[in-house]
Amino acid sequence: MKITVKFFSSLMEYLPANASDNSIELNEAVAVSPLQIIDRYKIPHNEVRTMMKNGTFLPEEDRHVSLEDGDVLTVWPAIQGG
Amino acid sequence: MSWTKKILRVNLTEGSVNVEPLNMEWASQYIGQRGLATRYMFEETDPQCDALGPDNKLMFATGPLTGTMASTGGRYSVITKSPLTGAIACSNSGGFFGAELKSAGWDMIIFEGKSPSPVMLNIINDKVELLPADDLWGKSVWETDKLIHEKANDPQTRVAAVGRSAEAGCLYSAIINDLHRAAGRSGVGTVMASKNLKAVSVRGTKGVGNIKDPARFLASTSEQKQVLAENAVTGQGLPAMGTQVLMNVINEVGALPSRNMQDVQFSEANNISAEAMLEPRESDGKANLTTNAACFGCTIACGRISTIDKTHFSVENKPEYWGNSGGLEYEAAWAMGADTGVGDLDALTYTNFICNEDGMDPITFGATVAAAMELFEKGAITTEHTGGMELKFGSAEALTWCVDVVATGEGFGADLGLGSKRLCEKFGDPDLSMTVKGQEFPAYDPRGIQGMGLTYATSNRGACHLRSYTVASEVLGIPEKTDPLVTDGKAGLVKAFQDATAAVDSMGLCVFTTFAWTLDNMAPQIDAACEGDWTVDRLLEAGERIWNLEREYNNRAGLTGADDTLPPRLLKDAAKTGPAEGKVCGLDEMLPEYYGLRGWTTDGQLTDDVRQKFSLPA
Repeated sequence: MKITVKFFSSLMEYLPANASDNSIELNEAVAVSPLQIIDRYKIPHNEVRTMMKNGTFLPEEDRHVSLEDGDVLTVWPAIQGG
Repeated sequence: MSWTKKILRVNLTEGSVNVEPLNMEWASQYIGQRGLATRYMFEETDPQCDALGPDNKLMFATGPLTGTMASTGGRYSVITKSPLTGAIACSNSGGFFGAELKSAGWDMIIFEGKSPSPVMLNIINDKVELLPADDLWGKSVWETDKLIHEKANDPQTRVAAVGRSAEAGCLYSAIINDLHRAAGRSGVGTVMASKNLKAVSVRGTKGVGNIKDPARFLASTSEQKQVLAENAVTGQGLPAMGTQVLMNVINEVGALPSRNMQDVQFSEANNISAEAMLEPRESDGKANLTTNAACFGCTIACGRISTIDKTHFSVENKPEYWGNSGGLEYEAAWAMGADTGVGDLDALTYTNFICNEDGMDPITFGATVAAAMELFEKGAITTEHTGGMELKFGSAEALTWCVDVVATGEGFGADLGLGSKRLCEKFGDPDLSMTVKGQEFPAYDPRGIQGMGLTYATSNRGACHLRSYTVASEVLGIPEKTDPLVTDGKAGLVKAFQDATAAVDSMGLCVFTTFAWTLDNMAPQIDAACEGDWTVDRLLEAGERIWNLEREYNNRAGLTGADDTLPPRLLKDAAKTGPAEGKVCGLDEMLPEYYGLRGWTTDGQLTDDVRQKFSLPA
């Protein structure tokens, strides 16, 4: 199961050395959830604010639900702009 | 109090300067800055006047909290009738100029008429004089600033000026203060140049000491600064990454317009993002971003200070651009980058520098170049028009050439200086202009963020994100998350953002505080500073009054409900990729409800009930 994971803004520091374009490609043998991924990369939960799955906002209550083949998970700290 | 209660009236035709008391009855209804100057515009100008004629007026207005200890209390706005849109224009700027004007003892300056020859206004507290500016005419903003400072011999003199683009008649010229802060949108700089007014310099040493309850004001502003500091966005995110952090976010949600809004995602978004601005360059090991920067009194400090790679083609023989200057904000980076398909960070930074140096609105500039590129690819514009330059999407060389020619108005630069509406009309394809009321969209595609479609369509100054930033709710969940792909509930959301933002602007505060503050955090500050009881309800009422008066001005200028629309591309051509794939903007599903919530007629006119409710002038 292939999953693309992207960490942006201050969460870039948690990317592994082989990341490219803020992005890493995972090849998972078993199901994995967004929360399990941020734990794998040792990102403190209080630093994570916005998560998106395939560009759609992922509410906190859905972050334990396993990702599917081809999903793109993007993760940000608290951000705003304008 | 907190207002100085004094305004300057400068008649440029006669060369006279007079002092008047501020109309405090109007201040109690319209607060200050955007709202109060709109009230003066409504009273003193014919909404159908020629925006570039002597009958239009140009108002520099501070708010009651400008120049005070309130965080971000350094804002001023320029209010006039826009030559780009024909609507009321209000362009808001930070930096230090606004606070300096207030510290010199002035709430507002009203410029009227037209000077027979170039002049500048010099203010040193109560000493105010019009000076000849023939030696400054023809100079860029940066040269003008330098020459004024050399004469003033006081580094704390603050300068707001127009550049060569405004003199050449570019319809989206900005007024630049403090070298790289801009009253940027709607061509307020073009109006200033049309009056032969080159610059305003100001030095104020009085401070803003007329606070109603100083002890309560100190306690309140300190408490609210703490709120900003402890908020993850205003305390950490914005100072570290700036507004540019949005580039990847908006691209991921499929609302980053690209190639003149033909697409809703840009493959090179990450190359021009906040993250890219932190990456060390190969040539010198330095990052594009040197540091962040704050405007007067701001405890957020979202501003960007950047350098360009000295080996980049745009500056390799131009050492004058090798130093630090104002860097990319998100909207500018989107317009000049994603919308033109240019993924070259240094080219965008160069283009941004020139927009500051010669005073152009980078949003309208970038979007106009994008429209020109589409016209070029369709064959309507050719190399015969451009003198050989191929205006292809993605060409950094074309982008940097465009900014150079618009800065001076030479050759094809005069066509690009028209803005995309007039450019597309001239070259026979008006539907390619991505504008509302003649003003170009900023960086959010309303097919992917539906509320922004209604925001753009109903904005009183033409397409604009700063009148109702529903992105906060629809994408990032502030104050609460709403679905960006649905239209339900967006009419109420847009109205709420519009009314609250009008109040924030009119106080003299920065709208970026609203990522951490609501009006609940602001009311105690203005109430401690100003006479009268300022509650959240009163601020909201004032905000709605201001919105309605701006609308009334526009209706009298000849705009109607038919102008509250979007280009066909956004209403008929579905998004091709991303979460919004297959979607168009459902403006028709939102607009009637919005008119209803406003209490307007079904064709967008104010009713007598609304006029009476808000005590609007006849």
